Amino acid sequence: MPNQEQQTQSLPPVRLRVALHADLRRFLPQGVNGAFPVEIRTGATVSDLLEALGIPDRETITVGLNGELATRESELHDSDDITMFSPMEGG
Amino acid sequence: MTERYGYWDRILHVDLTEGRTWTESLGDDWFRRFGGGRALIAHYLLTATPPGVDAFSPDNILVFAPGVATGAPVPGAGRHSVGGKSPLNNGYGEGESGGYWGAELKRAGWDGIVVHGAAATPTYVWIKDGDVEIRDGSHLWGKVSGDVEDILREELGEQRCRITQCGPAGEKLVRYALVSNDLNEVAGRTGMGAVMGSKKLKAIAVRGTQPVPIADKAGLMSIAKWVSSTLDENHRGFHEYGTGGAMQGKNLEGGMPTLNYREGRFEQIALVDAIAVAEQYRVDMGACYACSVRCKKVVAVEARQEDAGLTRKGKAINVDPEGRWRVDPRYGGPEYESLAALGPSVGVADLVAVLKSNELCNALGIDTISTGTTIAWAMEAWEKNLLTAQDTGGMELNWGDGGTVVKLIEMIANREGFGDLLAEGSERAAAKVGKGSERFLTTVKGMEMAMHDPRHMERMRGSYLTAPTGGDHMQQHEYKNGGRNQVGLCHFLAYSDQQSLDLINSVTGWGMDQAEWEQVSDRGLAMARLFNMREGTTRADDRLPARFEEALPMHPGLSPESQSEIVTEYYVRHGWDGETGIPTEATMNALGLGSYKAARAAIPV
Repeated sequence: MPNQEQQTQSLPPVRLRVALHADLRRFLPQGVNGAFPVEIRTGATVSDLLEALGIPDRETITVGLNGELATRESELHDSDDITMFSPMEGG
Repeated sequence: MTERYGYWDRILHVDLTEGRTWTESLGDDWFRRFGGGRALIAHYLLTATPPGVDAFSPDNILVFAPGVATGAPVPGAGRHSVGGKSPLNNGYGEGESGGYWGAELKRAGWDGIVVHGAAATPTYVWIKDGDVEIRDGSHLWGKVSGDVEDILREELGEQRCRITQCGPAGEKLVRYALVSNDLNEVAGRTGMGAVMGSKKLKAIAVRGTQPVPIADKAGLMSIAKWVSSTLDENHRGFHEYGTGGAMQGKNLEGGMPTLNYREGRFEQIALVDAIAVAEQYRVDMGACYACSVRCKKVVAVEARQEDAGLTRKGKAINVDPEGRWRVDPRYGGPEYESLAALGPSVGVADLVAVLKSNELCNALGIDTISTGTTIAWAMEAWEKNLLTAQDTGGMELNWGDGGTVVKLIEMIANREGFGDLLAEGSERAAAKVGKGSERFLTTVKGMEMAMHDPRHMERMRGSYLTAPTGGDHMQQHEYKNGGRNQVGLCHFLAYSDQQSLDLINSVTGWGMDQAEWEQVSDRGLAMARLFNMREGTTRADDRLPARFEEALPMHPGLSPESQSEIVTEYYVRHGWDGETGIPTEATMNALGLGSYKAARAAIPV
């Protein structure tokens, strides 16, 4: 019997659409301006996604998952829309 | 002669009653200990105004206050403050602005302007380096800021002069009238435009041709290079969108001031944020003096398809889909506070209406935060039938009606009809309307709070509770932003503490350390506090309005006890009496503020 981790690894990856805003736009893939597709392993969380995108996980980063506030532990599913924001104030 | 870097030790005094000007030297020691900005304003409020002075009396002063960094060729050094006694909070008044005017004043050889008295007829002041003239400004009175700038540049024959001015709203003493400069930069808060209008001073035009002396040019250049070479890492969001690029994030967290702070989420947020502005109507990004971040949106809208074309830089200008308004790019574009105050706060999801509202506020001269928030108060009072068509002259004040907001802005700026009541600010309007409308107020010390909900943002609590101006969001109650205010350095630049110090020391050659730098800020805060207390402010004014005791869906309310704890901790940390907030004698001595002890003695018991 394969263990749970092996089972997860054998599943196809989930496909997400990710949009990065404010100062996080510096982590956009080259040539990308709007939302872009990301594939990540099944069972991955917001925290894993931040790591995969190379974004240092500061607690001030706000993450939206299909229009609702996500936590770092929120699990990602196929076709999820992710938005990420760094805080900006003033003006 | 002492070598001076970063300042000239020359303050310009203009007495409009007597029609004379003179120069004052404050001494080199003063600039090192106080920097300028807030401290310059507070210094003259404490020494040159009588206790209890009325904001609109000729005995009030209006101070234009750059700092020792203003005008240095480095990003962020394009700031200056404008202050006096506020007609909105009845105490310490100050707004801060960017752009080019403050740097131009420094380049003309001046460290500040103190305006005394009041002219009998409209005037303006023309400063060309060391030459100062008080001139007739009758032909400028009643004109919007763009027209005033055109007329003055033509008449002075100086296309490169920089102009600061009050709009028609300042002339009409709207209590939250602003002072603008360069048309699209504003010292928005606390009603300094109304003080300017009360003095019948329409504008100050400046042309300066002397570079501010810099102690360590190479050191300063390396800081400037750091900003431009690390733009992507440190200022990407500002550079691309200005402020307001993260409104959807604030909304997700349930902290977007919506419908007069009653709610924390605005469903149509993506229609009115800086991303929507950039995609639809933004035609350029502007900059302040010497700044490579370029965080200032410029928007343009045409009312008619046949007028739509390209800007000089080839950017397409879009059309109001409903064919209602043209929005003039001369007046810049809305930053976060304006987008929020004229959008979600009043329930407006009509982006062109928000852009038009912002343009009118700039052209007519009223603060977008107080304007939007005062209208939001009125809309809630209307909803609850505390204001009726009889009060409004037949207008309906429905949430989300952008056309009504645009109309109200014109009525407020001109004190026309129902606008006359709103021109007093929400707190005075509520006192007049009564019937419980006071419970919809979102003011601190009489000034409308900015667009950051303290239930959501913990660090805003102290800012709103203890900022000397009232509902101020810029966290200028602490040394970092407070100190930047005094030297004329932008809060948005991501300089570390060490870099800020390096910048100031490169400009001045002072070799200050962190402790000395923090004392500079502490002096400004203590002086502003002394002035507020001399004018009758007490601990009871360091509180949030009742609305913020109510919970939001995602954030609990703030009890009076929790607010009180923040206030006490703040007083004690600053060496002020833990009960009353009066700077203690020991603190006054430690900061070397002995010359202001008369103000301390004048605090009513």
